[in-house]
Amino acid sequence: MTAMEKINQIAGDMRGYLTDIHQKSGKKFMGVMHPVIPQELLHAAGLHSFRLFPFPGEPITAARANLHADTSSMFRAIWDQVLKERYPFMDGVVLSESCETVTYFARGWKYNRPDDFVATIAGVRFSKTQNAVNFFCKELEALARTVEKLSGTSISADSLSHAISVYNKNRQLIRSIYELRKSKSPPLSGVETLKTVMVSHIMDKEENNILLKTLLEELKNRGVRPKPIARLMVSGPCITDFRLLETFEASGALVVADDTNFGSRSFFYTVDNAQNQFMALAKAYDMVPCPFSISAKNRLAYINKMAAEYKVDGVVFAIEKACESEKMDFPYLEKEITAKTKLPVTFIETEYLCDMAPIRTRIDAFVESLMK
Amino acid sequence: MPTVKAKRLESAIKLSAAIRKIYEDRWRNKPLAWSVNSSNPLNDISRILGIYVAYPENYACVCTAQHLSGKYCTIAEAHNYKPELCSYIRNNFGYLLAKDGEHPLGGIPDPDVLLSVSNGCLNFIKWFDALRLYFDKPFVLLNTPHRLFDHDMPDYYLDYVIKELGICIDKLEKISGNKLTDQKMRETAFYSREQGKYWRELLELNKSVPAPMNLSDLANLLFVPTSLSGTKFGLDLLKEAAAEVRQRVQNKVGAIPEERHRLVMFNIPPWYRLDFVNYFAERGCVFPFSDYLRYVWCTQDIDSSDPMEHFARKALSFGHNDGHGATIAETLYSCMGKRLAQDIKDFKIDGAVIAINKSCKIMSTGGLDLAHLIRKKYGLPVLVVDIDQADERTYSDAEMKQRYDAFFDTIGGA
Repeated sequence: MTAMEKINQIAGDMRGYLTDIHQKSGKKFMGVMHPVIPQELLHAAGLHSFRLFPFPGEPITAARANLHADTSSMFRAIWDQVLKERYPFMDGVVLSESCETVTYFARGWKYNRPDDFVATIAGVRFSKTQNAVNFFCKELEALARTVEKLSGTSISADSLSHAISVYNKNRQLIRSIYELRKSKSPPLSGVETLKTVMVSHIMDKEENNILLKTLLEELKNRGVRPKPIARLMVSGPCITDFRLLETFEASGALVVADDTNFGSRSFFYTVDNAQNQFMALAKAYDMVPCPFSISAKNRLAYINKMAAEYKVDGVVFAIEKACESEKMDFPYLEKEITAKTKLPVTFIETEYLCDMAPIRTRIDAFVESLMK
Repeated sequence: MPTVKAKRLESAIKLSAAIRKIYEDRWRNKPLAWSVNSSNPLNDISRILGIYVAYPENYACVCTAQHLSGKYCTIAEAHNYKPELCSYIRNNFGYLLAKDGEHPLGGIPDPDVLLSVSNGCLNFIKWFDALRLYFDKPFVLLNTPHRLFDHDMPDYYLDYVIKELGICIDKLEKISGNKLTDQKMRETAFYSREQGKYWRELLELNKSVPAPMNLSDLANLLFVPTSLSGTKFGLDLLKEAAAEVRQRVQNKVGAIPEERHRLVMFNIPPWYRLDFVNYFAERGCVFPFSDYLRYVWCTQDIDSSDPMEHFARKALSFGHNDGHGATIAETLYSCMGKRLAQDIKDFKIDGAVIAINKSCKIMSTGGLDLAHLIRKKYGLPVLVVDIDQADERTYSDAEMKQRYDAFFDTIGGA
């Protein structure tokens, strides 16, 4: 089986995969919301961490009793699947001060499921002072003490250093895969890239590093691929639905770059393993370019740089209906990108299990406009 | 439409005149800051430094009360501010992007500086970041961490906020060209603390039967802790209101003619239909308190002897958390414990109205669990309604009256 075939296999049944490795590993599994939580801490504590997302295809029913329809559908779907015991392998979660629904419902989680292990951290949104980084560092130290209690394993300087090395390697490998997408005929599609990163978000990182190395070799020898009719960049929050990128790419365009929580925002930085490790983690994760953490102006710089490097023809903002942070930035980003960078921009509203037919129509029209 | 009008407080009428004057004065005074109406010490401190403060959030309420929210929200949406965004924000950008020059109270002058704090909703930061980019003016933000759970505040939270406050003060001193004096800081911290005492007294007085104030009275008076925080003028207004309300209690004067039911409301009221309380008043229903009035603002007495610590604690104490002090994110689930049980008993509450407010996810998250709790644990009838705080287009009088009438049938005798 090739690396890509293995990725496709895991991506095809992520719940089944997690259930299986949970039984085999003997480790406790922790779900982690958002890219602002350093999973290195959990790894160093002997836990298996994975990014929390809703498994596809299950209508939201049970969560309606607790979360109203105007909250994030992604988080409602997660909560729905928690209530339905769809994460039987999950021994706890880490929630961060982040998007509105997650931040405000952390108490709701404990209110409704008091026996669940739920750890939290506060953030330092926008405040990039040294004082703020010091504060975040203390929050990380507090999180470390909390997860140590769950795992029963102390986090040593050595184990944390090892975890940082493993995660740095993982980020570097994914960046290398992203690099390949800069070519005129990228060796992998946007859908394949999304599957690759989603698998990375759930696998044991050391195993994933081996898989990614093999994948890189395969991709370098994949042969000539057809040149896409248009190169797209996708910007949005928690894009995990393969159908969305399949719909985009059904137009003949290729998604070659992304500015998303599960995509580049999770991989673009490196943690300095040489200095004080908690401080190094605080500094690195403080840079994650989620809209709730940084100014729209900084996001513009991030998007423009990526758009130029990947030579994109247009930017698709695919924004979850209830994600106010993304929606607050959109008017400014749209105006600046179209006026100054002269890149065409379109806006797609998404929700968990959203209907792809109208999205297909809009993307087809957008891609057609790019070809004129 | 309602025929029974609540007896307005004289002090509330005086406050309305004061609000008008404050808006007029803002055209004459510079530098002007735009800021957020949360427990924001930057407002108190800016005033000491000679920076005048205006509140687009409050102005959105003013526009909404004058039924302009439809116009402004529509304009904002045409400029990509999506309908899911807070209606205060859409009102504000609609006002800014409107081409004609007719605006309530003459509008608000453009800011010289933007102030925000993160103890309220997430949008306070994103909104003011957008305003900073719109106006290209300095942005001073006091970042206060949210505690996602009930836990005692670690010392490093306070240390962090005191230091951040110091950084913000340096910026504000440069912008104003003035220096903070210890005496002014102490005075302002004192007024801030005293205002909190009178605000809490007003709410305590409303435990009386009949309730001397209705929701609309308190919502008007809320202008003081939200927009005149740390000022002697604001303190005097609250003192006057407290004296008037004490008198009402002594003389058993109720806010409504025939009080038969005492209800609690959760979430921000619809500012464009604040007279919905009169429709309830017609049926003998009064609202002695709401979560927005009781569990958010001035929830605890904060020592003012060290002004920096007072202001830092003030920023960290927005909302209710079983007395520990918290941020607004923790409001609804936090109040579901002993505090609500005690308040239902003390305020003699016999029903609840819970608004699910599309614009305010922060105040709405937990609303459904709360409805279940109140019905199950306290055996009280609950009306859950979808009401947006400042987007009148989403409100249908006929539909809402139907819902209200059904609720009156449930509570009986209304």
